[in-house]
Amino acid sequence: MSTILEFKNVSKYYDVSRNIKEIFSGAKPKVRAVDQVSFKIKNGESVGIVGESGCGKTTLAKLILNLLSPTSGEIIFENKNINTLKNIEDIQEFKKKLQFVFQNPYDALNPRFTIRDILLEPLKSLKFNPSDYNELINGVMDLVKLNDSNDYLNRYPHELSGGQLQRIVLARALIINPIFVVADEPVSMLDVSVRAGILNAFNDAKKTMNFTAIYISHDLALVKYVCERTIVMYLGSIVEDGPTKDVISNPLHPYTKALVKAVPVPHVNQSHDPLPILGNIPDATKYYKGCKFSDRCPNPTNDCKQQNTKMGLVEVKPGHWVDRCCANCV
Amino acid sequence: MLEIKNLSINYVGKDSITKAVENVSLNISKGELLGIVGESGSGKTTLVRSIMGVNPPSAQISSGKIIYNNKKILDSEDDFITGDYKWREIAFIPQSAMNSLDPVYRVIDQMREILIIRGNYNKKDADKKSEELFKLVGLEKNRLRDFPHQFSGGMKQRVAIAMALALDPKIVIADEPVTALDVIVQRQILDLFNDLRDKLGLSIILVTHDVSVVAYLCQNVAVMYAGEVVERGAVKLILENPFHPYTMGLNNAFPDLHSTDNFLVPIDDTITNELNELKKEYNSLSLNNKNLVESEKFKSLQSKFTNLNTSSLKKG
Repeated sequence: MSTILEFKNVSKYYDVSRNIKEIFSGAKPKVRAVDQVSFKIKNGESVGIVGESGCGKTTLAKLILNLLSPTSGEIIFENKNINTLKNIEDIQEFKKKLQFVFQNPYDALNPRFTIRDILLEPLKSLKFNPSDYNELINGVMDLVKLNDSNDYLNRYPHELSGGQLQRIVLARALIINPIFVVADEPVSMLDVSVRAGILNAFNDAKKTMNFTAIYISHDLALVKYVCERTIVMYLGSIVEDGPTKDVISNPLHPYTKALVKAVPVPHVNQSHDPLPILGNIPDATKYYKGCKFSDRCPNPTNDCKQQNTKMGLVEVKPGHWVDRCCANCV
Repeated sequence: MLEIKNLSINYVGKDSITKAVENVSLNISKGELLGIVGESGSGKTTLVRSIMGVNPPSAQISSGKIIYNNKKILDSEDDFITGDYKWREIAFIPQSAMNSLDPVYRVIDQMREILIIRGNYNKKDADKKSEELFKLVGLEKNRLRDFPHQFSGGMKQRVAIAMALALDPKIVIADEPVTALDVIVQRQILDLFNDLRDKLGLSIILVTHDVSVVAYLCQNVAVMYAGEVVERGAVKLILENPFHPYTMGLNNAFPDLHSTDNFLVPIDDTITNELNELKKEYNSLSLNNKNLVESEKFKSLQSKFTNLNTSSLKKG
């Protein structure tokens, strides 16, 4: 399988407003939203990106879609650097191939459009053949299972439930037959019992249309259901990358270990032991000399804070990578 | 301690009436952790808001009553009942409590508001109590003078919990307290609830749509569907041996991180349609014959869920 997307040492830093002390000292605090991230995604893969609020997952998604430009590094899609595309045709081609499913179905759809208009919008703007419109619309409504006797196409968004709206958001993303879909927390605004329907629709669509998918979430249980590979992010860096089954059953990085223990399950006899992680969500402007996770790690060593660690992942088991500085403790 | 008896609440619109809560009866005793589980629209928020009397004016109590320690706090037949118990005996953490902190006041001022006005503390004692409360919920006391926006989501939730505990209530009602939070922070908040119940003997009513949260924290659970409590009992019993088809559906809809099964059964329209049919049938039975267990439809729905053909669902 060929590589469809590659990130080469990509960083996205934001300057933050400074207080008087910082201005005078010449300090330039930055939020390192994405910090020297490298990975490859193969054609047809389903990859989950997991991490807590503020770890950089949404920024990563926006970088993939070229909604943001990286501060440094290269993003390569189908062997072309997406930030250097100048030709209108190239840019349009790129847009036809990548689509996005948003988190909030209530915000993602124009409340003044009927469902049919919402689905027509991408077809019209990317200049599809009008004679194909009906077929494409019906096809995608079948795919998301909104093809029963209710006439959804002539309704407005406020007439549909959250779960139904999210299916429309998915339908709109799939109607142009993209080869790459990025979904950012697509079910977190929905009731837990409704999520199953959307995830099933996502899975069915993927089997039928065979696109590559990146699925972003802070919920490991859902990622497990949809993705065969999982990337764990912490404070802008990738800390673990491997087959989902292995990452969950045998997490290597201490952050992943805490994440796995923290997920509540619908069973009664769960462990109530304290989580193997200290403190709270970290400050994204702080500069770390050594391992970024060291102040939350339950078992830090002397090396953790010293090393001038080169960023990077090390392959501890076949296909299962972990952050270089934590590889020693595995 | 707290008894809800045959409570029914309707929302009255211009030319329609929506039955939000239908004939609900529940009890909660000292030190109990009760979960109320149901989807959006099942009536759980309306139910718990009625305990605090904070439903909007369009909510009409059509029948039933709520009794706290043998005193009526709500009755469909009375116009007005004392509100003394509010915050002092029973406190409320509303949904998205972190968004209900006043952004233009320091947290300490918001704590003082409760303690001084509602609690008859003087300023000095109020501040001392605020420090104790912060310590109880795991926040540094030097953060008291910060504004809400300087706290993270999880910390704001802890502030909301501290505010609810200000007047030493016996019962705390938390409406979706961890929904907007990350899994690690969520776990910390749930552990905090457990801790508070151990330390203070608090009773906690936890309203959520997430069965896993209830499985982690609560001893007893009431499952709500379309305004009614369809199943009620010990969490262990309900999760391992659900009786009502909706509860079975709810169980199957939840992804389990560690299970080897890889399918989820959504609660979709076909299931809700069948449940609605069931409800109509139940309501049409004569009063003497309201034995739901006997209904053929009920039996067929039950068997549908217990005999789920997993291979047909996986659709390889």
